[in-house]
Amino acid sequence: MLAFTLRRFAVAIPTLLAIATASFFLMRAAPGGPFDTEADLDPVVLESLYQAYGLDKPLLEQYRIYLANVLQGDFGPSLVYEDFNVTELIAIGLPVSARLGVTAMLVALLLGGTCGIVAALRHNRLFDHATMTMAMTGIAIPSFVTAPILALFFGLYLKLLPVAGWNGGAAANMVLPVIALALPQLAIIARLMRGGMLEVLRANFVRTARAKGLPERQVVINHVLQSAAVPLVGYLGPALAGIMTGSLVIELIFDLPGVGRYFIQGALNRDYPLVMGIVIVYGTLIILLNLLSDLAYAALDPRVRRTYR
Amino acid sequence: MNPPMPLFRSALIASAALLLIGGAAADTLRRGAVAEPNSLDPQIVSGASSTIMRDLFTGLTSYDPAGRLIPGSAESWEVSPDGLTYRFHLRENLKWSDGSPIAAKDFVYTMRRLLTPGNRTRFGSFFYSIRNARRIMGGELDPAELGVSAEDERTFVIELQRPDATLLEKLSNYAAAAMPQAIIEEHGRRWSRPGRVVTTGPYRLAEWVPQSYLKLEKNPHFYGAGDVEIETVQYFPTNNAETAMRRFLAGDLDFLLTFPADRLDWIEENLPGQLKIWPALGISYITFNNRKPPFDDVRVRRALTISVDRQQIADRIMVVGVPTAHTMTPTVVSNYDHPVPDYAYQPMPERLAEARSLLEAAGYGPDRPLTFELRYEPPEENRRLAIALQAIWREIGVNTELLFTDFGTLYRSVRTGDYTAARFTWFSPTDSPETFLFILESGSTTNYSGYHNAEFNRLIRSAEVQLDRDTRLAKYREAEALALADYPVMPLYFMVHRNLVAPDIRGYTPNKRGMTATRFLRRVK
Repeated sequence: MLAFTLRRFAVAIPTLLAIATASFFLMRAAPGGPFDTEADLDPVVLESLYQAYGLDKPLLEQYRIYLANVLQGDFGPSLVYEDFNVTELIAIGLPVSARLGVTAMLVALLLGGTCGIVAALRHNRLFDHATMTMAMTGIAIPSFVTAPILALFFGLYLKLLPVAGWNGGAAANMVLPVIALALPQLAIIARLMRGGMLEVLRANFVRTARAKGLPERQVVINHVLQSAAVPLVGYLGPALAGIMTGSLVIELIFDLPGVGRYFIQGALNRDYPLVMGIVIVYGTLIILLNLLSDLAYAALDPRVRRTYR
Repeated sequence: MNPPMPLFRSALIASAALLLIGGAAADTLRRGAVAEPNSLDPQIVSGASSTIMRDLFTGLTSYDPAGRLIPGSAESWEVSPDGLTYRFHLRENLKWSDGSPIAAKDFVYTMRRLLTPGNRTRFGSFFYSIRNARRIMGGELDPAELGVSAEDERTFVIELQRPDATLLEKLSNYAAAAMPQAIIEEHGRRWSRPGRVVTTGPYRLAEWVPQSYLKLEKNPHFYGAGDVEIETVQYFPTNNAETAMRRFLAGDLDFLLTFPADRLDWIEENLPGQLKIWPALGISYITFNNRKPPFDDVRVRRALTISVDRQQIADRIMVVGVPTAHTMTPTVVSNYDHPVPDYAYQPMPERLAEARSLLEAAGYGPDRPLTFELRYEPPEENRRLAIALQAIWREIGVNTELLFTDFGTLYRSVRTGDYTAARFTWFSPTDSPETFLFILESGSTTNYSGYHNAEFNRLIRSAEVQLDRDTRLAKYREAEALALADYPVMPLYFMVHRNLVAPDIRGYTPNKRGMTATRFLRRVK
């Protein structure tokens, strides 16, 4: 298991390098430059800006300097927020996105998981059909539709919750974004959980457990859940990385200072260091969470454990 | 490198404190729909964040609530008869927000820093009329050669290369506010962060969390502090006008600098007293690439220009009450007699018939229709405009292919001349035709069309040095009329400021400059 983990870390380094390289050159291939949104800059001024940020050097030289800095943990200055370093911006944005993402994921797991389990146990009955219809709706309606509706209904109509803003992460400000973020996840989790349950409920070892007279509750809790959660665990790793690094739509609609907004601002304004910094952080998170979900797989499934040696 | 956490933590604590106080405290103003500043360094920040910057920094001159020029850090000034020397007398007891005194030498530092290459400063070209400015910015001369000096503690002198009628307006810009040399040299790139930055305007910076909010509090050392009623002003930058609008409706924001155009009808019906729409010193126009076919042919440019009914565009597409444009210089520019071209008075059927025959003469017809690409950028209302133009030009047998890009891409393509036609906006920092006409001048930064007319250039050069206002404006008029006859660009409509102001906010006077300084606002109970 340890050897497996170490091996995965060793593979992670070239993976991250490839991500950094690809995003560096892709960003540079995009038309326009970081100061192009300031339409009336004098060419002399523009040139001195490129010099100040080292953008006048040959591309390969810039790439070499960038990699050397990243290895020392320095993502460089942001070109959109010129008073800040990329590291500082990520340190401001990531906790916001992570807090929202983790909360939403917990809500989704709790509610979605429960719905999935109950639906599977009530297979083909009313609860099952009702939950699955709702889950399908949840997946089908994009968050840019649900989020403004939530804001309009709970914020403007009922005046119960703030329509937008972060307010330092006050609970009231988190409710609507968390719901909007959790809804699609909840739907997916419910479906995954139900699917896993249905498969396991038909398995031989479950039939054996029932045959030896175990009460249904114990069968489900001790035998079914563990195996039924396997497909869900595989989904959770990358999903958590995605939701933690910010949902652009939710952050825009609710005016939240998360890392997703930095990412889109960075991309639109050709803030090369900011976009690359976020890409690298995102890549690292995905690798880490994938590893975690693989380890969780192993913990849940003895067959997998054997192949990890 | 600074540890970033304390910033975040202090922001959390501050916001928690804010929650306790509540959003609508009588002496707090909450403003939204502003652009996120790229920096709070007044010489680096881009023009989009000017409302915030003018609350923080005051130049030598300033504007009153109606947008008229008034004294700022300087209480008075004299101009030499040849218009080349400006002598500014600073106010007595002029101070930074930390209470230390501001002297004339600080303005010398300000102007030198602004015009020294490599400082990442943006507005240098504003002040190219100052002696040696252009050559210093180009790296040919030492910044010490700049035509600025401190005659004594309170007298700051600017010497010009040529007369510049708009200098006093330009000196109201925050880029020309006193800059704290010692703090800038101590902290370098991060001097403008909360806790370090000192300001010269009505407010000082208390907090700034990017993508979240800026909190400004009253600067007790500002020369006009006695008249400032709003104690705290918070800015919530966003590029999502819909969200800002919802926050305004929920009472979470008091003042919006813009709102989504398609909500106008609803706003007019439901918030009549809170809507403020006012003509601005700006224009929306189509730039044709005059350097290559099809727009190297004046007949094609004229055909497209005369075939568009501006009134229809203004009323049915733009909806927010924009004035129609047939000239580059907006109708609100003071004392200027606009050289409106003849076609503006021609009936539309006649114009369409002429457009068709012009295109035919240029070699286009049903079997060889004129086809070109029109580029445009967000927001959404530009898409409606582009589609409308496409439909209008189809009437005269023209195929318009629409290309939607982000602003950076659009700007890069027009600047390098790699485009056929594009929609563009220009706002002038001064109440004068000059920057609108720079768009047509050879070699100008904003001349994207590649239009070249030696006589036009000569007229502009001779206009800008005229000391007498009427002579100057008459020459500008002559130049504009000359260029418009070549149809290098196509004026569409003039821009408007559109604000939403909560009913309990007073002291707001709509003006063409879009000045909404917080220092003049107050809240009634």
